[in-house]
Amino acid sequence: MIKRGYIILSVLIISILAVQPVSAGFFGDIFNKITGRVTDDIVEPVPPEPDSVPASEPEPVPPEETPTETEPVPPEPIICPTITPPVCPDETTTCPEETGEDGCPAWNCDTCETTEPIPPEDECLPIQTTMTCGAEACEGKDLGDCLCPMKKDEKGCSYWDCDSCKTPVPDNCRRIMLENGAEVTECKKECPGIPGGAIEKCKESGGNVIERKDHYGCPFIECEYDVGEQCPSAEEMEAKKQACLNQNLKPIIVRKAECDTVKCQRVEPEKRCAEDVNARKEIKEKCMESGGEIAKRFDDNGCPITVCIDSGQECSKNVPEEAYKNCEIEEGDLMIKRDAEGCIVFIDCAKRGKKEVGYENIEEMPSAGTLLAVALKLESLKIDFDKLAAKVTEIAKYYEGTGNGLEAARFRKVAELFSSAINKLDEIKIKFRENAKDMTEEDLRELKYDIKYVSEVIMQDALYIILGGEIELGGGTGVTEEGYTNCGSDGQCWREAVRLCEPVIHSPRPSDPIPLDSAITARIHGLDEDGFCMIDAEVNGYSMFCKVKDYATLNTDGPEILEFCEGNMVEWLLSGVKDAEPPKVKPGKCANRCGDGICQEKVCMGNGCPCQETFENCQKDCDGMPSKFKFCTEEDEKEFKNCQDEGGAPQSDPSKYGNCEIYTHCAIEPETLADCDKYVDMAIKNDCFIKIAEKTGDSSICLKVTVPDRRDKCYVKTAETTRDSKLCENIVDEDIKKHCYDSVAGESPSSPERERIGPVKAEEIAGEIVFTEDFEQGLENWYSYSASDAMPATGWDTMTEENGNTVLRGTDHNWIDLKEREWTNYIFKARFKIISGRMHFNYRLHKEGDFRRYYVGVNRDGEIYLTRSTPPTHINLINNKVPLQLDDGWHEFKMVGYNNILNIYIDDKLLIEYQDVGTPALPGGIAFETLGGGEFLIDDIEIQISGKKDVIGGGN
Amino acid sequence: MIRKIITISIIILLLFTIAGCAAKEDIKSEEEAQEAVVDVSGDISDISDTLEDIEKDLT
Repeated sequence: MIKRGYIILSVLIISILAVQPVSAGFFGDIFNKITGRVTDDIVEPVPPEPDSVPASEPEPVPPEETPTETEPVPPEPIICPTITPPVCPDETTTCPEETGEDGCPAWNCDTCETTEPIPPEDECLPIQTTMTCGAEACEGKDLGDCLCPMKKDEKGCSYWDCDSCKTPVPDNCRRIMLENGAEVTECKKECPGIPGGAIEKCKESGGNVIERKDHYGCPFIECEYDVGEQCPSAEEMEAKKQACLNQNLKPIIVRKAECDTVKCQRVEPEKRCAEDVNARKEIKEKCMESGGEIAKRFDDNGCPITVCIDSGQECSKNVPEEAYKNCEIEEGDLMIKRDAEGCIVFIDCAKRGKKEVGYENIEEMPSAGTLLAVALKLESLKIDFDKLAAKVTEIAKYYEGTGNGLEAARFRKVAELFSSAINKLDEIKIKFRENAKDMTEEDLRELKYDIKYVSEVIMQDALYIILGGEIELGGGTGVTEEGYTNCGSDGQCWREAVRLCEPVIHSPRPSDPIPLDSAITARIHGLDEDGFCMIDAEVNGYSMFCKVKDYATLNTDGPEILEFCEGNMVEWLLSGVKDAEPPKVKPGKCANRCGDGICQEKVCMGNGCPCQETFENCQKDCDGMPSKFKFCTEEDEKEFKNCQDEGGAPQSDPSKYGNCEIYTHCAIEPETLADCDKYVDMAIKNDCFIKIAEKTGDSSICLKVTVPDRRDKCYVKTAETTRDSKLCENIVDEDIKKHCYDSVAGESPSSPERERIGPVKAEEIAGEIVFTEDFEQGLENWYSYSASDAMPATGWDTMTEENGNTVLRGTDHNWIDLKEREWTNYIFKARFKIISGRMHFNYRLHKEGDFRRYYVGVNRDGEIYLTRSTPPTHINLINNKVPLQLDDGWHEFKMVGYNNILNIYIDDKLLIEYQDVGTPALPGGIAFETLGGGEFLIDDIEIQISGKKDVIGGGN
Repeated sequence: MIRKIITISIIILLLFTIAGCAAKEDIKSEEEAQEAVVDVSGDISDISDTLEDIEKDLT
């Protein structure tokens, strides 16, 4: 038994040791000796051979013959060559003589006595052990492309010889050392000015002149053409292209208002260096196989090329002047990274991503073989991208760990760019797959545009940011105190800011349905903790708040952005109604940004907009700001003042959403019933009666209360004071009555409704039908309310169809919840009919405590989508809306949930199969929510407990 | 019995080997971070060039 134990133990130890070389310790040494494996930690560095080779080499001694053991050979006399002894470095003495291994004299020049002066103590200034050019000690010196050599002065003191670092950078350039160790060469140039007549030519051709600045700050113009009522015809496009050429500008095709139009762009500087990517990859692979080292060299044109060098071979430290010139012509900054030895390990002419890429007309469709090859390349790119994203995230994590927030944010931003690029590549792959057989020119044009965008815009920006480049938005007219760049009406500045989620304010020109004289304000607030870009917009009292995930590839000119947004502005824009009435300001769920250093004085009112900040509620952001008090509505303000006039103490709370103050009640302290007579305002008078009734327990006072639900409240108060549940009988409203009984007696009497509904949450048995509804008995199981203020509303009500069937009908933005029922795993079925707009089917809706739900949006435009909502976060679980074609008739909705797996069917067709790997919302009930302009009919609801076998996906 | 032990040992050995291979190396020093930045920069250039190639293929 003991032997077996030893065997198992031994095998386990060997197994563990086999995985990782042992780094230290007695057993480790033994094991490494046995296996012949070593680690970097335990390898003793081999010291370099001492430089003991004398000035003149001794003649080689011929090898002796190996004597055999059986025939002993007498030792032969040693004949040593005649050698002149080498001289010591001081050139005055010879090197000391020693006896070599062969018995002949040898000279060891290492033991020459030094003649260097030994400086007296404290005379030398302390210096660092290594010094790179650009470091503090060399500040102000002419920095070079090499390590500063260490020299000794006449006293023998060491110093860094920065003067010997000669720089070949052109006169108009200067080298800057970045904090991340990279060198950047920035150059300046004389601006040539805008060619005479260029502006006039653009205007004459019907274009809009846009003035921009290049990399060096030199102005140039672009010419853009608006799209009229109809998209430009082929002839018009051709005329505009010709107009561009006449202006010495390059015509590109861009999209505007869902039409192709022409834009005249400046001719981009040509790319001077382009190393073949496949050749570079091949060199890298072969070099790794052969154990060499990758290094950068320069060809005759000053273009960097990748080479493989042997370990220890001299590396490239100097950058030829042509390389700087090339980068200057390309309008970039030459960025160089070196290793500790000063060898160039990375060099690139870093440029910001292109501001805009154009669509290209397809002259010839590629063959099926080419398309297949492209699809394969894309597949392998996806893998490279994933690896790249993982590496960047690791770097970001490292900097987060060291507390370097700026660097961490830089790499997080790049990771987000990659995330967008990866999703875009996925989209491209899907398009290739779906359209491979019958790809049209239009399909190909879109694909080429997408690929070009990722390559020339996103990747270029990612590289620029990684190398330490600072983001400056073109077109910005200044920066606000809060740090927002003002893009004005410059759409390109806005698009660039969205791509990088940089904080900006933008005032775009209104387009349909927004009236032309409206002032739109859109702001980008930056990234939230989950990597969503936060954007809000306001116009004419309408507002929306957007949380955009793949912002880098988002088309902000089209309606695509709206799917990430919430707020009444979304509904307005989707409705397309031109003369929409300015809405009453209603608060939305706001985001608490206290502590971000910006005092959010003026805020939009949509869901997710920043909460209004004042000195009172956020002193750290609003220190020194005047105290302000903003009411949510005019009524709130009026009632507040009215209470003050009545001598009461008006009470208000920040709205439950936090944006503004809602008047709650007028605090009064009446002593007797007579005190109530002094109040003129009936609401305050009623409150007074309730106070006295509560105080005295006299329920007869409640008869004086003029408003029915307030009177009911009065009875509740008196019943609570007297602990007499009989007083609850006076209450008209059934819900309040129930509350009264609960409050006084601890439980309400059994009611037919309560018995029918059963327990709120019972044991779930798969297959059991736990609820059905056909609305023939009205809405007693349901609670209908307005989405804007959560007050009871009739937006949902029953109606009778021509055939006598009663159905539920919902309009505008209203909710209807099933009362008091929650389940975890269930099948939710309902028949529905779309009259107009869109609706959310709410599944596992839970409102007490932490609000959560899934909602499935269905609309007439042929889309269905799934979202998990835990305000203020709404996560679109399905990136792209799933196409849905529905006619005007009745359809069946079915949602099956089992733990985190969700299946959604329409008319028995599985449309969404999803596994929620986040925090799934469960348990909860059901509800329907029509959205602005929406009108839906609902009937025949059924809830059946589901089992694992009922869902598809998640390993089933 | 010995066969069982050997089998179990081989399985354990394999598991350790796989776990060792799959383990992700974290960045632990500024030097490593700088090396990673150089790696990533090179990779980005490669991917951009490949994308450009693809775009040209479609022309």
